[in-house]
Parts: sequence; structure tokens; C-alpha cells
Amino acid sequence: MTDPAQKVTFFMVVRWLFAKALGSTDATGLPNFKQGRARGRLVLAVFVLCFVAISGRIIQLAVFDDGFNRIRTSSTAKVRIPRPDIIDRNGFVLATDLRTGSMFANPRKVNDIDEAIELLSPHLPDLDVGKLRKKLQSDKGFVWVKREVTPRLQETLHDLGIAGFGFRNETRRIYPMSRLASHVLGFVDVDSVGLAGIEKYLDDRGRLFAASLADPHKAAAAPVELSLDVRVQHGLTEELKRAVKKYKAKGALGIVMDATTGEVVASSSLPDFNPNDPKDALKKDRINRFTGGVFEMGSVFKAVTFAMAFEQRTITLQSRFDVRAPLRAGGSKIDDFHPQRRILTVPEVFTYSSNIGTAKMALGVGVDAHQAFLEKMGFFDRLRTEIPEAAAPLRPRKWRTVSTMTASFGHGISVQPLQLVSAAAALVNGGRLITPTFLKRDRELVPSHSRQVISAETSKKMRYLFRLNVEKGSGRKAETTGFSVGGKTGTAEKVVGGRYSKKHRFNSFLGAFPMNAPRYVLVVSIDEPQPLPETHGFATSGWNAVPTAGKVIARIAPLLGLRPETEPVAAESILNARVGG
Amino acid sequence: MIRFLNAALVIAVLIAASIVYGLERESRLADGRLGKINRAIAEEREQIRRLRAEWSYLNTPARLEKLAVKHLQHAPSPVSQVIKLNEVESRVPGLAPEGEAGGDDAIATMLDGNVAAVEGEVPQQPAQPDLIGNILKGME
Repeated sequence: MTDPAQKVTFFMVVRWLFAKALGSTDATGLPNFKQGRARGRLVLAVFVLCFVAISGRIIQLAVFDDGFNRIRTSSTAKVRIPRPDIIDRNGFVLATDLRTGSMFANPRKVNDIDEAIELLSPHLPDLDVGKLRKKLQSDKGFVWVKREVTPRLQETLHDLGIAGFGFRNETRRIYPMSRLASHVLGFVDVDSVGLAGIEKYLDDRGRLFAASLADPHKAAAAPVELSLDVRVQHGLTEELKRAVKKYKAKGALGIVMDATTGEVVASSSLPDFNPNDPKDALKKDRINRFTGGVFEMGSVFKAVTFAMAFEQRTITLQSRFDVRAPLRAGGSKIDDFHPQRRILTVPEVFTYSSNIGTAKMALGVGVDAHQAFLEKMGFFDRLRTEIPEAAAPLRPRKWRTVSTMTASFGHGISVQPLQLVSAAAALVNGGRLITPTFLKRDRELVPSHSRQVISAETSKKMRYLFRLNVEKGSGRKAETTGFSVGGKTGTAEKVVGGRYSKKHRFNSFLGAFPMNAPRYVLVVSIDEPQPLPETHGFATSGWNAVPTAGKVIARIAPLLGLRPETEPVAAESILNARVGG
Repeated sequence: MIRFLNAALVIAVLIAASIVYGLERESRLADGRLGKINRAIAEEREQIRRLRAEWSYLNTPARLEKLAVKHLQHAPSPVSQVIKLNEVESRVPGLAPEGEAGGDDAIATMLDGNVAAVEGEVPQQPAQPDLIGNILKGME
């Protein structure tokens, strides 16, 4: 250990091992590297080692190919997820992305301009030949020939095989059913960003929902299923269009909602627009009237007051109200449109639509309880559905006694029509207020979107009153053979120049069908209908909104799969039916 | 011995190289095929989207209504025509056991008449109308 020459180092051991392996040593027992043969063996050994390593790796890749897969998937992960299609509840496409090509030319590569134009012009009738010729004669490298060519035309043009022409693909949002349900769908801008309706929802509050539809592996997205039924939507829109034309109205709106799930089956607002070309969508009269605007709904709102009074037990069906004298409140007078000047029973107050009786009823409940009930029914909050256009309700800044009196018959408080429809659904469906939705809703999820606001007993009384009003009251013209309708009419005077105008009306029918077990609620409102000779100069709701609603129901009820009743349901039979049956 | 080994190794290298080359070429070709198939799938998807959009356009209720009014002699069925199954016998004349004289001709003539009406008026459609073009044209 003391002699340094005797020290055995690691390097020496390696040298010795090499020497042994190569089989030749010099005098000191170390490998003789000078000998060519030994050197050759060393090189050989290194090569053999390398080959063994490479073969091992190949076998590893071939047999256990996990690593290989991982590499592949990571390279395809960066794909653009397309905007989801929008379909109706039966699967009809309402909005989809389509590839359209835009034709361009490289003038330097076009050999024969005349021939090219001659070949193109029969397929592009609206092509400006002179302009195109000038473009092609220029020495630019790129000119547009025609933007947004449909796929089919693109195929034809491509097959012409003209040198120097080509296509650039672009994606365009297409609405195959054009105007149908335009207010629900909304529209997108040139960059496919939603600007209104469900389209905006998908980019906005519904981003998470939209992302949940996407399938990252296939660059595809599942479609958005709306609650709308295009056939019902068309029936509703068509009847509203006729009504607008017939009564020379400014506009109209209609909503049909499933009273048991809160799904909006159809909702239409006129005038509408074409989402394929939404240039007039932003005009003032094209607003979405069912959620984007609030209205003083007028007498249809009385139904809410009646339900409240039943619920608070301040009245029964047998109670009586003295409507002989108009009410004085603040500086104004509350009078009836059809003054009866006698003592009315509760059902009579409903069917004669007595403002005096309803105001007294609300006062009987009390100002605070009235406010509390309206709040419970959601009339003080902005109703939020998927549609981003949601107007906040308007109510008096300071709620006085007179506010309760006017709000009892739907004046002085403005709400979204959809808000009223969802409240009406609660009035007839046994008392559950369900948040409305424009997306298809699973029936099992309904309880989590709803709450009990009135008792089943009150709901039964409301069904009775609704039915009675169509049987005998102001809603008679909504009666439809085969489907027992119930509902409340309303003729609201619009505020023009700061005061209520007798000539500008907002007429509504708020109803439900079939009345023995209401499945659908609807509202039909006509904005400023004009009196006609055939309506005997009247322009109240019973002459326009009500018959329109009747036509709507007659048209859509069979589409909704309801079985016609062989004989009409009498109001009394609703009252006698067992609750919860 | 060593010469034999060298020769064997050279041959092995050549064989291995050709196998590797073959594999590489095969994988390159497969990659090309994969790309082509993927593009074809994307193309088919696009076609499906287009066809679905066209189908939806053809199903636009307003369009169907117009066609139905033009070519069919049907009206929306009134509620009075909807009957329960056990009432069929009494309501449809041909099925009544007593009324054998009329037989099932009532229904047959009804059907025949309508079929003829439909057959006579179906117009000749152009082979491939450009439907997407129609949707876009509908934008006024």
C-alpha cells in the first residue's frame, strides 16, 4: 500500500479487462494497441454495442408502442372546434357552419382572359364582366373574382379548370329556415361571434355549456338542442303575421310554453329579421318583444291578483265586490271598461274584468303583502333565460297604495311577457313557478328549476276562472273545438307622450290548454291593433288578440300531440275535480 | 473466422438497412394515406353538414305549407275526424258489418282520387337545385 507503483487504480482494471477481451497483451500485461488486429476488434466491439442498443430500442418501440401513440395524439391536439349547430327539439337544423369558397385569380397566370370570362359568365349571372376584365388585365398577383360562392357552384367552377383561378375557403354561419325563430337564434358577425340570441349566449354566459358540447378529439361539437318546435313556431308566427296584417298593428308577440317543464316551445316577435342577412336586426322595431322588452300587460295581470287573494285567504269564490262607484286614488279615477254598476261575485269580477273589483281585492290583501307576493312571483327581478336580451321590470320607485291598486290590473308595472307566461304556468300547473328555458330540458331536472309559489287548491280555482272566462266571459273567441282553452284577456292602454292613450293599445290573451290538465300556456299580444268594420269599430282584446290566440291554439294543439276532447270541459267540472288527481 | 464474421455483419447491416428503409417508406405511405383519409372524412363531414342544412331548408314549414297548398287537396283535419278506436266501426261506412254493399270501396276511391291528384301534378325538378344559394338569396 505504501509503494505508489503498486497502487491499483480503476483505470488499470479497465485496461486489463480490455486486454483480456482482445486477447493480446504486451510485456506489462496490458493490451498492445499498436497491433492493428486489436484495434480492429475494439472498433468492432463498439459497433456491436451500438447495434445492440439500436435493436433493443426498435424492439421496444415495436412491441411496447405506447410512446409511439403518445407522440401521435399530441400532434393532432391543436384542432379548431367548430361552432356548434343549433337544432330544434326534433332535430331540424336552425343554424350551422358551412364552408363557402371565395374565388380569386392570379392575373399573371391567366393565359386567355377572354376565354376565362366566356367560361365563367354563364355560371355567375351577376358578374360585372367589364370590371373583371379590367382586374384580370392588371399585373397584380391576386384579385377577388367572386366572394361567398356556394359549395355546389364552387364545384362547377372548379370543374371548368381555368388556369390562374382558385378558391379560398371560408366558414359562414347559415340559417336554413331563415326568418323562423330569428329572435331566439340571434345572429353572428363576420367573424362568427354571436351578437344576439342563443348565438350570443354560446359566446357569452353559455361558454361553458358550449365547451361541454365539443369533442376535442374529432374537431366536432354536438348540436345545441333548443326547446323550440319549428312546426309550432311556424304556426304561431304565421297566425301572428296574419293578425298584424289584418288589424294593421305595429307588431305582435306570442309565446307558447310547456307548463310542466318551463320549456318555451315557440316564441315569436314581429316584425322579425333574417339572420342570414341581419342588417335590419338592430332596427328599433325589430326588438325581441318576448324577453327584450317590458310591457304594462293590462288586465291579463289580474290573474296574479286573484291568485294572491285566494292564497292569502282574503277572498273565496263566493266573495262579493261592490263595483258601483269608481275608485278615487291620488288624483286619478279607477273605473271599469264594461261598467256593471252592481255587486259582483269573484268569478264575475274576473269575467267582466272589473278594475274596481280587482283593485279592492288587492287592497284587501294589503300593500305590503301585495308587494311581497309580486316579488315571490319574480316580477321584481329581471328574468334571466338563455336569451341575453332581457329587460328589467319597471315599477314605481316608491310603492304607494295607488301603486297596489293599478298594479292589481296590470298598470304601473311593466314586465317581460315571458315573465308573465311563467307566472301563468304556475297559476295553472298546481302552483310551481318554473324558470323558463329556451334549451331542451330533462323532465327530471324540472324540480331543481322550480319552486312552489301557490297552493294546488288556489291553482285549481285559477283554472276554473280561466276556463269560465273563455266559456262565458271576454275570452269566448279563443274557444277551440276539441281543446278546452282557458284564459284572461287584457287591453292595456299605452303611454303616449306621458299619459295613457285610448287609441294606442297593447292587447293580450294569456291562456292555457287543455284546461282539465293544462299542458301549455301561451300569451298572444298585439301591439296597437286598429279597429275594423268587421270588429264593429272595436279594438279591444276580445276582437283581435283573443281570436288570434284561438286560431293559434287550433293550429298548434294537434302538432303538440294533444288528443282532442270529444266534448268541451265545463268550468264547473274543473272545480269539482280532485286536487292532485 | 473474422473475415466470415465481417461478411456476416456487412450482410446483416445491409438487410437491416433495407428492412428499416422498407418500414420507413411504408410508414411514410401510410401517413400519406392517413392524411388523405382524414381529408376525405373532413370533406364528407362538410358534405353531411351541407346536406343537413339543405334538408332543413327543404323542411322549412313555410315552404312545405306552400307546396302542400299547391299540390295537395288536403286540409288540416278537423277535430271531428279524430275518433276513438272503438268508434271506427260506426263511423267508417265500409267497415260496418251491415253495409256490405258499399264495401271498402269508399276508402279505395278516396285514396285513388288523392293519389291521382298527387301524381298528376308533381313538377319536374331540376336535377340538383342550389339550395344553399336559395337560402342566401332569400336575404333580399
